[in-house]
Amino acid sequence: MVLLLNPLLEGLEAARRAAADVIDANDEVTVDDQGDHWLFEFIPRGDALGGGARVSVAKDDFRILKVIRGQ
Amino acid sequence: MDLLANPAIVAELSRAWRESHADDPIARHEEGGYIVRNPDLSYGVERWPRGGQSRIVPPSLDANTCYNGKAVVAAFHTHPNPPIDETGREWEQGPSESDRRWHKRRKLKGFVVSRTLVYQIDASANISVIGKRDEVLSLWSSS
Repeated sequence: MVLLLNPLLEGLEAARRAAADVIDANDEVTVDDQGDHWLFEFIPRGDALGGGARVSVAKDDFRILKVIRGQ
Repeated sequence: MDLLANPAIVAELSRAWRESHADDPIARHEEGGYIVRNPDLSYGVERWPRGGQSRIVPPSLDANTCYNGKAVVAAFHTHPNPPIDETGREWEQGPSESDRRWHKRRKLKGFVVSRTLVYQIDASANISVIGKRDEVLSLWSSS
């Protein structure tokens, strides 16, 4: 059996793991295709200020290129 | 009205920064408050409950953008985490997307006090730099 994974979803999971200390499962997520990598942005919902993160993930091997935490 | 020309407001921003313990990697946390119009038309500050390391929850405003019966004219909060912390984590210094969203939804301007700069968020969520923290809060730096 061959299991085909959606690369974008795999990238998203890598981004979630990389910023697990500051993001929440309910965060809004946006993705920007930057060519050789994706830029995922996690934006907290609700009334809090701060939190969230921007995570860059390489498309070819899902390496984490950069994590910037929001405050 | 330049709110940061008001010594009482600047003193409260300075106090919030000191209480954020930005230099302590364990104790650093966000502080904030509302800048309000008092009944005598002077300006005052209503501080919020202490926040966490990278977020803070402002108390709810009523439908007229009042808090404790006073008209809220702006909000402020601190960003105590350094650009790169002791464990190598990188932190945004300016207002985050959730900061911008919060201000835009309430059509309320605000200030963010970070390690080196003080930022302003206008009611449309546009961001500008007011100046260096040490200079903007210079009259009230910790002594």
